[in-house]
Amino acid sequence: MLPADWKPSRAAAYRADRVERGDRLQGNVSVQCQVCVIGTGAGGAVAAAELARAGLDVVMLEEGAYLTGEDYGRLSPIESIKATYRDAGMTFTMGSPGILMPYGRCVGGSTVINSGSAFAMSEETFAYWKRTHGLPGLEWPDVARHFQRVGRTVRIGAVPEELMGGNGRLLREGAEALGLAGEVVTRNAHGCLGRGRCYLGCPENAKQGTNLNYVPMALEAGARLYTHCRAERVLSEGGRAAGVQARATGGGARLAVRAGAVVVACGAVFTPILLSESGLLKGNRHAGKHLRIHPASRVIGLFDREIKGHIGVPQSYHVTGLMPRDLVPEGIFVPPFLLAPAVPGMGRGHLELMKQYPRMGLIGYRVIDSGEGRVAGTVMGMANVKYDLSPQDTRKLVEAMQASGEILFAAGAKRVWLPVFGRGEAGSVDELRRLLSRPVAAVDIELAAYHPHGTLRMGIDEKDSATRPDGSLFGVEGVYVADASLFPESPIVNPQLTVMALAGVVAERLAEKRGLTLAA
Amino acid sequence: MTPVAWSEPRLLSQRDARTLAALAEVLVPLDAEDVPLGRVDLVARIERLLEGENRVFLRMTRLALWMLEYSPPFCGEGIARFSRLAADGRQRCVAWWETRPSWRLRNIYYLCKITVLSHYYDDEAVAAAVGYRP
Ligand SMILES: Cc1cc2nc3c(=O)[nH]c(=O)nc-3n(C[C@H](O)[C@H](O)[C@H](O)COP(=O)(O)OP(=O)(O)OC[C@H]3O[C@@H](n4cnc5c(N)ncnc54)[C@H](O)[C@@H]3O)c2cc1C
Ligand code: SF4
Repeated sequence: MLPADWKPSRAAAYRADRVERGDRLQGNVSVQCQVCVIGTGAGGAVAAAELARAGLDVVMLEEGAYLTGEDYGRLSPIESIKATYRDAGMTFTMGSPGILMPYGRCVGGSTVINSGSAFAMSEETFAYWKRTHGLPGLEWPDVARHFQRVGRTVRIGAVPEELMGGNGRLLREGAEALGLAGEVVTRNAHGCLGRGRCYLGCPENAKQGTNLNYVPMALEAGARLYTHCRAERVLSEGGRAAGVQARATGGGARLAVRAGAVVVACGAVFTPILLSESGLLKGNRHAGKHLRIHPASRVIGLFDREIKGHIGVPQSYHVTGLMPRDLVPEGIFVPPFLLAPAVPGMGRGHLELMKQYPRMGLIGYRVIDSGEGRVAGTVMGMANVKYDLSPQDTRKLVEAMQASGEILFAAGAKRVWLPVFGRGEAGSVDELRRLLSRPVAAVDIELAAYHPHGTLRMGIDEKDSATRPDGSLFGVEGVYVADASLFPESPIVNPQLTVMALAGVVAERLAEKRGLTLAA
Repeated sequence: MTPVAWSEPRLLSQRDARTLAALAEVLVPLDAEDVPLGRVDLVARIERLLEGENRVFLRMTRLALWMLEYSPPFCGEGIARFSRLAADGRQRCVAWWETRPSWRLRNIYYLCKITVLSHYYDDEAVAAAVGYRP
């Protein structure tokens, strides 16, 4: 474990003797280890820490930089995005319509830039996974034990009332007025001051991204970390994992890692791409397919009182009463640079509305998608993610939009702006319903997605899935997957804890194969 | 407030910078008294974002600006370029783009619009002037 006087602000400098920047390597380097873990996000960091603490010699590879709150605090919002997001956050799906889908690229991966909502998947959802995909050898008590283990490490707790912020409170007020069940969000934030910048990296080191806990734990247990290093190939010899070939970002030195086992945790989009480019997915019929993303959008309400949504935790309350219909309205809030393009008008008219920023309320919503997309390699260095929004999911989004608009009106909004082309503004619930009563085309909705999963789903055999329930990839021995790619179905809740718990299971199974057990 | 002189473009071209300036004048009132929009160096900010990123984004941004610049004939504004239109012509042109039934065409314009608005409102003083005080 970490020493008693451990402070997250020390994370980036912690065990500096075991951290190297790939872009500063002098010439090509070869290293040897027992397990190479690629990616240090929700899945990779947990797997690396558990394996290292079980006694295995681990090398972690991460494409991004190691930053902490002190760094984000110094940067402007757009500079933070550039430092922590892949391609400065300008990543889209290709399909109808194109959907903004950002990914973290730094030590800690998307846990550094996520909103910090932390929920364990329910036993009922897991039972559904079992019913539909078998998952032999994976039982709820095991998974539940890993949820508890992860929950202790990332310090989960409900958002305190004083940090809920005006935006979360108005969502609660509106939902209660409509008789919709909801709850205060539980988060992996400790010492949160409600600075409202979670998705830009927490300047207080309060949000417990894996850069602040599991990565330092792995280093403490003897693992080595190479940052600014992009894995280019997972190597195999005679049907067995042999190591990883990586390259410093910016095209510098090469790093060759010899390892008997490789854990790939680059996220649900980049793991299938890396494995496919390594030639390890030939004949694997389900690899790269079954992509689900939880498509999301938002509505903005204008109030005649101050909401000051930017103060407090941005995502502090969510509506649970619509989950049976696959709809999840969540309070979110964003700084002016993200809100400005969604505010109608131009010139002085636009500015006058922007000056109402403290009077705006924002509800985001995501839907549990029944449609599927796929990851089809890369085009010009960018992930080629094919995803067409299905008619059923389009209807769900419109339903969620209408419900969220009604919640805003119930909380006292005077006007609501919709993210739909040609249906800009509603001044009352009746007008909102009228505007949305005509069919809405998928391509006319402004969409984003933050939860890609399912592209190497686990299951019984190759006829149904790409990986086994212990994370091992079909077709090659010693290659494991430990990220959101593994999900056979949606976890319904926000995914980070489920990724972490499954990564814990994968690490445990791998350790057991070596005759080791996880540390207490 | 007098608008600042923008930096010399390094990644974008002079023509891109002229298109951006013309669009910025439509989207944000650079002479607003109480919100210091005019002090933002848009070209420098955009180039800071694009620098070191995949060249595709730079190319996409430049292509979108090029299409906007040469769109006036399709918007019914004659053969002039967007940056040479009078203010009311540019407004009509922007309104034309915003109401295209084709989502692909609309997205080309949105890329230009998001580029302009997000960089203005990322400026600390501008954000503070509209009430963002975290
Ligand atoms: C803006 C945003 C908000 C979110 N909000 C929430 C929330 O509130 N609650 C929640 O539960 N979930 C949230 N999520 C989702 C959650 O963060 C992810 O589901 C989770 O982090 C996925 O874990 P992962 O291990 O699959 O991938 P990631 O955490 O994305 O980690 C992948 C890592 O692999 C690295 N990598 C990729 N390719 C390579 C390579 N070739 N070589 C080396 N390294 C590589 C990346 O740089 C990255 O660090 C959010 C996501 C985003 C983007
Ligand atoms: S609200 Fe602020 S202090 Fe709290 S976790 Fe988010 S960024 Fe950190």
